[in-house]
Amino acid sequence: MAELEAQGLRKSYRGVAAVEDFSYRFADSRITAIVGPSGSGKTTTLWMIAGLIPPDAGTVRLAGRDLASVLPERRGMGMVFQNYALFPHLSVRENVEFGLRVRRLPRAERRRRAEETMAMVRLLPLAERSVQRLSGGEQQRVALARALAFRPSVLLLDEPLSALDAKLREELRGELFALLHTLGITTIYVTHDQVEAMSLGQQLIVLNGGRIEQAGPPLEVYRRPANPFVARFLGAANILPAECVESDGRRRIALSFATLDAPAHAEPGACWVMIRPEDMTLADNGALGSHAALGSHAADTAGHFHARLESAVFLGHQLRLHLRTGAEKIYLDTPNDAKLDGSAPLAVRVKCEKISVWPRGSGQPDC
Amino acid sequence: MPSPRRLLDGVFVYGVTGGLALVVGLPVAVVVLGSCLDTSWLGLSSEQWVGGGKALLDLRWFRYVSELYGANMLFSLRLALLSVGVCLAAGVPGAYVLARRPFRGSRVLEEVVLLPLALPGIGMSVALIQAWSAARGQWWLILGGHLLYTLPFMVRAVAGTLRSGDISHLEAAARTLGAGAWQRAVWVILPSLRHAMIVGALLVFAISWGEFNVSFLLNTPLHQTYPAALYATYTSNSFKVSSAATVLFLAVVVPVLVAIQLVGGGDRVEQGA
Repeated sequence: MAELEAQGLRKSYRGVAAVEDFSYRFADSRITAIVGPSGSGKTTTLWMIAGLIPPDAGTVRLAGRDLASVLPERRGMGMVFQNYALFPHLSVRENVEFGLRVRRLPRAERRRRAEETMAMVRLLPLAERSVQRLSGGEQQRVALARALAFRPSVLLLDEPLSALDAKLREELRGELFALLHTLGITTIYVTHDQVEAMSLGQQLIVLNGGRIEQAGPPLEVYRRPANPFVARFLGAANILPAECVESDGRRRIALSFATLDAPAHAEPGACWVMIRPEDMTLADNGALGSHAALGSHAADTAGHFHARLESAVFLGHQLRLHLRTGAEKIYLDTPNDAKLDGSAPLAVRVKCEKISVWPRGSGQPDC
Repeated sequence: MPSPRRLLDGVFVYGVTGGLALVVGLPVAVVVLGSCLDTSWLGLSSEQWVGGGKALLDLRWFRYVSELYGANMLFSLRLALLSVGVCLAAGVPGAYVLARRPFRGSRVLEEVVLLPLALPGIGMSVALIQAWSAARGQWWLILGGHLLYTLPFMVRAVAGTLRSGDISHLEAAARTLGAGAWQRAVWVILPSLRHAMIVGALLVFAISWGEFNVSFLLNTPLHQTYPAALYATYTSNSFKVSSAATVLFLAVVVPVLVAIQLVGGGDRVEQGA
């Protein structure tokens, strides 16, 4: 297959760096999602790979061949644009056939391949329709079919779902997932939506300020974010100052209000602890024992603490509780049918195996 | 019962609109009616002509004008069509370069193209005569004069569409699909510019058809464009003859202006959608 690799890609506009030192070997025949906030350089990166933006430095290689001197029209990369960029004067079929027409394929072959591709994305009934008379979701499918019809070696998707409303987006996400997985084509999927990135990408690249913050399988990046930015970008996270201490041969994380079992990657010293809101549960008050026991840091109380309920936000599938313990504010997600008594302190248990720890320098974790 | 305020608004809006329509429409109506109605028997006309029949509808003057000034009309039509052709052939690629491949000084060049519109027509004509005195009376010099006034409109219309629309995205899409420069130009860019080109061509035609200053001053009296002939009818023919000539002039330009409104309006709606 076609191995795609970017090395040291850099681009700046009027002295402001949009992408800096982007180096990555894309997994063959798999989907790599590039996710980042707006302005993080993800679209610029994609356009440089497509050859539509010349990089200031760095190379793109496809199957070992340097593409620097290869025009975008000779790269054979299918691309779906954010606004779809469908040719407004052509019908659905003519749009899908475009890549085959420029390759001067015989008419019959062109037609056969276009129909094959349109069938794949359920466009056949709309084949003769003008693309100006299609809904957003239909346009998205035309854009995808057009990019796939000429059998590209690489598929580039630039925020293909961002122009659609939430419900349609979720529907198409599932469809796209099924399709891309069966195609088995090297795919780069650019999005600012972390859910989209994690659900569609088999590999994940988190981009921020033009730099790669972290890359890896989505679950790994979510569970073990390399830094507070990645932690917060992929989901809600409580990030708290703590101390990693060693006693009786065991490492523990001492928070101002609780003690946690340290994960294997924690090094002794000042640190930041990340606890995701879904990695805590409300415990039965009786099982926790007295406050005295809580203060003794005994092994059986690791991960337990008491907190006062400040407010609860209904998120639909969950309740997000805003808790306060001492000076710290903590978010905790709980099933939406939880019975809450705001008058007494709530007993909370942290799933210690799920926490993440970073050594703490002088800086704040806010980014 | 509408409030006094709304009543006042209504009176104002319809009053002003009606007044303007009267100012614009009445002279045209007089010319049109004067060209084809025999008004002498009403005593409204100062005409001394008394020959011919007594029919109310009298189309003789059209035949008279077309016999006398038909050649000028053809010359003007040819000039207008040539202007459209040259503007399409030169203005569209030029606008593409200015809008999409700007180079050092391309903004200045664009302003220079627009400059003739800011100069008084008579000044422009005198400058042309002085610069090309040997070629005075040549049809291609007249065409050049017309291009000075028509090219800016084509360039503006096309460059505006190229700058405002997302044609650059369509081009990028065509590139990723494997289309080379010529394929992109023919299959993507030109079809996307269709509306701008139609509007531009109609404008160019209308302007060239009605251009007076350059045509009048650069030509020899025997080889004139139709607007110059029109002027001749005003100075040397009767009211009825000049009315008929004017109606023939309007018969060509009004459909073009209506077409501009229709196509231009459609274009705006499409871009807004």
